[in-house]
Amino acid sequence: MSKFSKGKKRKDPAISTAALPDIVFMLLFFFMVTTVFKEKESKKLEIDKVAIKETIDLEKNIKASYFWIGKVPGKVDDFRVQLDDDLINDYSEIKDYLIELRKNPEYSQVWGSRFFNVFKVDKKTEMRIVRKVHDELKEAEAFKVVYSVNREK
Amino acid sequence: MARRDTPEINAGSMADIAFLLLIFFLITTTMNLPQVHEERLPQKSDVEFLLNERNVLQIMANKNDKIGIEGEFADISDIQNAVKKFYQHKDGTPNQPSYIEVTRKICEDTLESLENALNVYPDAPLFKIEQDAWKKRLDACIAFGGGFQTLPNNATVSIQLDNSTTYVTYMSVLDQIMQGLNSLRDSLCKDKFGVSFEKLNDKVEIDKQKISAIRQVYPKKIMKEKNRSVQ
Repeated sequence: MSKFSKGKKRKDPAISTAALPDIVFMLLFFFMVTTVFKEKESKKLEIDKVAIKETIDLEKNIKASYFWIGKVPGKVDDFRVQLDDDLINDYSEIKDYLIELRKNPEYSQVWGSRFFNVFKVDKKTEMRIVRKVHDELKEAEAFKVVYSVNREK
Repeated sequence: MARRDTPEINAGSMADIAFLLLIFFLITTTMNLPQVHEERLPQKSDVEFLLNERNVLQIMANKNDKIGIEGEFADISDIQNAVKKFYQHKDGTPNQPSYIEVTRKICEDTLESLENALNVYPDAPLFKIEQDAWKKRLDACIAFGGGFQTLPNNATVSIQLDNSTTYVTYMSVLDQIMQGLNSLRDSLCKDKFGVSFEKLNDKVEIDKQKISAIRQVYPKKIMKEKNRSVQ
């Protein structure tokens, strides 16, 4: 028997995992807070957005209708308007759509104040198309328009 | 001699560290909101002012996206300076609008006479618009602690576009106008309140008054003329 016997082996202490949920929750909260939902994108039209210097933040908690104006993929110079989910064939559909929307009390309450028409328009669109949409908006008494743009640095 | 077991590491404070980090990120993270340019379409009920030639800064874009300012071909970057000159020039400069003087006394007097006029003609839309404008000007006088000069109500920047003008040109023109306007607002803000205009936060009541006051001096006035073919 050696004089320097190691004797009983020491047990490693167990690492506490009690803090693991905290770390997980921290990460969860972090991502919850920093996530910005991607802007609605059109799947039917190609849109190359304009970049300008002077922009403002779009207000939060708004009611909005979305208009996309852009090229139909694969075709040359075929600019079309998409309203919410569908391409429109006739501009008068816009007015009908908005009037229908206004019948919903959720929308009618904020119609003059927090109802926005959000435009996402391709650079090369001719103003005549934008104007036709504006005319329909005026008919439906929806006067607030915002143009979605990229901010130029 | 019995050897002691190493004591277990206390993990109780781990949660505190986690929350500390969580709170740090919560405070320092800024959200990136979608960027937009806002515009209000003209309403049928809008009153049309009689426009005086010198009170209008005319900007045109033709079907080839060429820019014209006051009837002369110009570069798009010239718009900014034209806008600055339109809003801020020596009173009496030919072809530029003359200012109206705004002081606290003038505001109060005008409001009083408008009040009387509205008693006689309760539905006159022009009087109501004037009353609204003068009320805001009075607030601005109080915020500045003194009077100022501003453009008359019927002074406006006018944009004329051809039907074939492209959208990017329209947006660039608007951007140039806003750049000119905001640089004027910024220098006024630094002069009067010692902070830059962008730093003012419209969710704070005192800043909101300042923003409104600055806007009274340099109001955003853009008129769109439609369906005109421009050469």
